[in-house]
Amino acid sequence: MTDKHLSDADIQQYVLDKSNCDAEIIAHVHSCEYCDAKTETYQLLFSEIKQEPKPVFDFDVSELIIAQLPSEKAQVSKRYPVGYLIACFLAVAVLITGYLNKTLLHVLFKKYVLNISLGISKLSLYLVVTTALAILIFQSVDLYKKYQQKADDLNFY
Amino acid sequence: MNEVLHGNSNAFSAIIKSTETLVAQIVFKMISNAEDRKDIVQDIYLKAYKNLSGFKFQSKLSTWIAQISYNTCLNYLEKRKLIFPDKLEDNNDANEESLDIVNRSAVGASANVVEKAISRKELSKILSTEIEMLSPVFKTLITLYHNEELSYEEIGTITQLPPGTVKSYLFRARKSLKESILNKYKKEEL
Repeated sequence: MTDKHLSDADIQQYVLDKSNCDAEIIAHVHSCEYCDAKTETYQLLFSEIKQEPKPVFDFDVSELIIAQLPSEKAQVSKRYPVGYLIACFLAVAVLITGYLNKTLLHVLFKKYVLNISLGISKLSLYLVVTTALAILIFQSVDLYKKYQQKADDLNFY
Repeated sequence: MNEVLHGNSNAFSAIIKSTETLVAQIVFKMISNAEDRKDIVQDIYLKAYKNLSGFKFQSKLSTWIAQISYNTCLNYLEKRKLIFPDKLEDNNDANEESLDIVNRSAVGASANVVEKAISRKELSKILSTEIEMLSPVFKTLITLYHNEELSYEEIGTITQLPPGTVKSYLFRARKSLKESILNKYKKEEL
């Protein structure tokens, strides 16, 4: 058995979890009036802390928060924004029209785009325009994803 | 949780009800201004709702919401310069010596003597006052461990402190409380 008085750390450990304490510590507490008194003080302290009343908000938290949440309709519209749907619809409409009336698409393309080609072959121009459009779409999607990620990071805490 | 993620915001009410007590414990211990508490609670749950899809089930949902609560409160305190976490260590080291002096002088003050000198009601009142005087972080740690009975690991997840640091801060907070009560008892005796 140790003759030296126990440290506060040992005594706190003894009070909180006696089963994991060294036999020496337990024996010392039983035989030392000073350490036993400190143990009792800690026991009293911990039991009093436990009896502290739990705080309660003086307003209905659930009601307050639910009133501020978006409704189910708004959630759906946020997931599928109107602009996005219109853009998809227009793209499909242009493709179908173009397919059904290849001449119209060709005329439009020739009138507005081919005129500025300055001697570039038709196939090359189609290729350049398609590649540019594809890059633009990928860049836009990537930019939007990065923006969302940053917005989420900023808002998390 | 799935219902909330599928857009049923009313289902979030069940999550609020099951975590409200824990959130209240953290908010009350860290924020003393009642008006600000209302804003902070709204902030906490709106953040939780917004980020619910990002919850990775690596901890309990209540622990995750408690973590948001703790960080929101800490941000609030830091913005208002009401807390200086970097000075937490120094302050406690400085107090250590004075606490030891009190401790040595209170050799004969056993729990029974303290109880006799101060009635249970008074003791509870003194304890509440002394807890209030602790730093917001210490107050929260004491509450999470002793009232909510969370483990060192869970408290570590909430506060983003290593379990060893949580243990060390809790030890200091308890010791400080014990010394304060003994000191108070000595004053009452005089």
